[in-house]
Amino acid sequence: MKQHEQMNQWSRGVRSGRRWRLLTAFVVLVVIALVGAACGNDDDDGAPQGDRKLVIVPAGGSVTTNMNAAFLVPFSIETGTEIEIVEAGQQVGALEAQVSSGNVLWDLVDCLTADVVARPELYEELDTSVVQSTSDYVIEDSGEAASRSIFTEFAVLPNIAYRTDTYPDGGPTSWADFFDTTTFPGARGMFDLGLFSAWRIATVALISDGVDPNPESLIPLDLDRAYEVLDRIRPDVRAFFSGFTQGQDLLRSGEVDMMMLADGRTFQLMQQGAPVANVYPTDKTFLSGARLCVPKGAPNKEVAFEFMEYVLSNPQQQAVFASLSTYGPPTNAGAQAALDLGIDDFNTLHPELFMVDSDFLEYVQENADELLSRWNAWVAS
Amino acid sequence: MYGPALIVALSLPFLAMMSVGFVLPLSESVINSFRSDPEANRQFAEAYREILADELFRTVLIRTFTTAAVVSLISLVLAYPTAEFIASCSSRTRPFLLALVVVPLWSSVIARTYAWYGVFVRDGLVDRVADLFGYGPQQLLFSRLAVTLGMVQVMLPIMILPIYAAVIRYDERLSRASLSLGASRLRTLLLVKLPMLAPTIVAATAAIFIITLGFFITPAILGGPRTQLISNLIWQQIYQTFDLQRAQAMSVTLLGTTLLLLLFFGGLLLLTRRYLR
Repeated sequence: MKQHEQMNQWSRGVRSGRRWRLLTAFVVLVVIALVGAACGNDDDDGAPQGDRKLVIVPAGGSVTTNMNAAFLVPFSIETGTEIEIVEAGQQVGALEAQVSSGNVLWDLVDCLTADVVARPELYEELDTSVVQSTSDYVIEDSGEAASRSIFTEFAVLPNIAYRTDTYPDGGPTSWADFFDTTTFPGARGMFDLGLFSAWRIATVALISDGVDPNPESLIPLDLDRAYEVLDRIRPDVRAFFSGFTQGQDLLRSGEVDMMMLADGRTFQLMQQGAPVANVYPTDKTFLSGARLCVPKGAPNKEVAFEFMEYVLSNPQQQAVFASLSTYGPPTNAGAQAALDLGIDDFNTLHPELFMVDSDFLEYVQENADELLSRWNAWVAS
Repeated sequence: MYGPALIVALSLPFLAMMSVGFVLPLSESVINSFRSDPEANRQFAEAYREILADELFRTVLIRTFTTAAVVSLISLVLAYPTAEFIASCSSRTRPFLLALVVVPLWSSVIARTYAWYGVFVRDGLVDRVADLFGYGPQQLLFSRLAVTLGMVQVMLPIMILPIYAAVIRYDERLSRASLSLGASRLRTLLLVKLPMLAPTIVAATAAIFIITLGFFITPAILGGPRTQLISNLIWQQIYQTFDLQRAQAMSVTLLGTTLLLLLFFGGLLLLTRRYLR
């Protein structure tokens, strides 16, 4: 009882006294600070009208640096556009959240053909009155991906990259060799990028087992047969990587002796002096295009389309990009310009030697669940 | 000294932050995880039925809990003698030793984990030492051992500090009394000292266990598919499978199991307290 009285007295004292005023002042200050912070943030995000701005999310790492040097900086200077580069890594999840919440922050994102085919609703359709130079691609583009993205470079993926010190008498030359651990013993490495890996690696497993390397003979993929081959090699797969820089580290350190990589990444290792060789498997692999997409509802999509056209209509800059990235240019004119610079880029000059991944995408999309669940189970086995 | 009005007012910013930044999104996740989703052809709570039927999920969930148990046990076994040792040093050396414990806590988990990467990688520290003794490459990277060691190192300071605090608070006269009455050193430790430390030990172990359940970076860098933990699997659902509902169901399952375990540890704590009286 006594305590209760005391407390009442105390709180009355507070309400009328100085402490209460101090407290009110404190709370008001906190609220002002919070509101101020929130507003300040808004000011930063929303560019003032009339200013040209472009927010781009490239594939990250060296791709970002190279794209900046070859395309972004010159575009920025020529058109007076302020460019913001966002390093977001795996961005499809974040993009989906942005689009579904209607609060899109990015104007251009690195995207995979499969992403666009699987979720076209996440990406803007190209404004063909602005993006006009899509007819000169090294390989023909079609379907949803063609109408919602542009090619920026070409890679052979997967290729075979191996350590020359492990195989001094000559390394593997084909998928049959890659999966033959008796003739070519040694630790293997593969990329684990979900569906992206699931169908590509199952396909090359089938090719190694003797299936003709063309879409007509391969589709639908005989997954039971593919996983029989994959099960045999599983004990020798020492590492799965989820980023290609990580994959390069594995081969550079000798953690694995032979891996599936991308040709450009292998060339980079060779340029750095690592004892590594690049192999385009004689029994064929895929030529895949890297793409740029405009997210649905992007704040500066007109600028984004202009940038796309800038990339495709500037063979000289494509050649610069190819010389930096060691990947192939997107257009024939770019490949010619690169050749003039002395870059004898094998894959874009001989596209007929490869399968094109877009031929598989319809099948992949329809069977995504099965492909992915078998792949994940195998990886974790 | 402080009235209830003041306390409530001062905690308002925190409460506001927690409700907006934690309670709200969490409730959304819980609700979404159960929701029926005609687009994905899912009935009410179907996502849960799917993940529980998924062998990979069950394996990884069990692996997560066993890893957490192993990590907290190893941490405890390493931390208690360390705490005793620091407490036994003179008051001049103690701050130095404590700094050794705390400094790693201040450095980034990613940096520490990559340091382990350098230890285990081919031609790294382990391989070079092995080479000196004529052994070949040890291939420890991506193994369970690498992941466990990496996690123990991150967790150790969090275990040592509270146990050290309890050891230093412990009244050594109790042990002396026990010894003078003829009890052996072991008996004194087991029946006099450890019961006094038990509440702290249980609480610290529980904290480590629960933090370890959510480990992501360490298994992602030092481990492979065979060592992935539940957070890696949830990441995969979000970023590779794009199945947000399954990710939410997995998260909620982890949260639920963790809460159950908290109840268990809470009960254990109560029991140890009662046992002391």
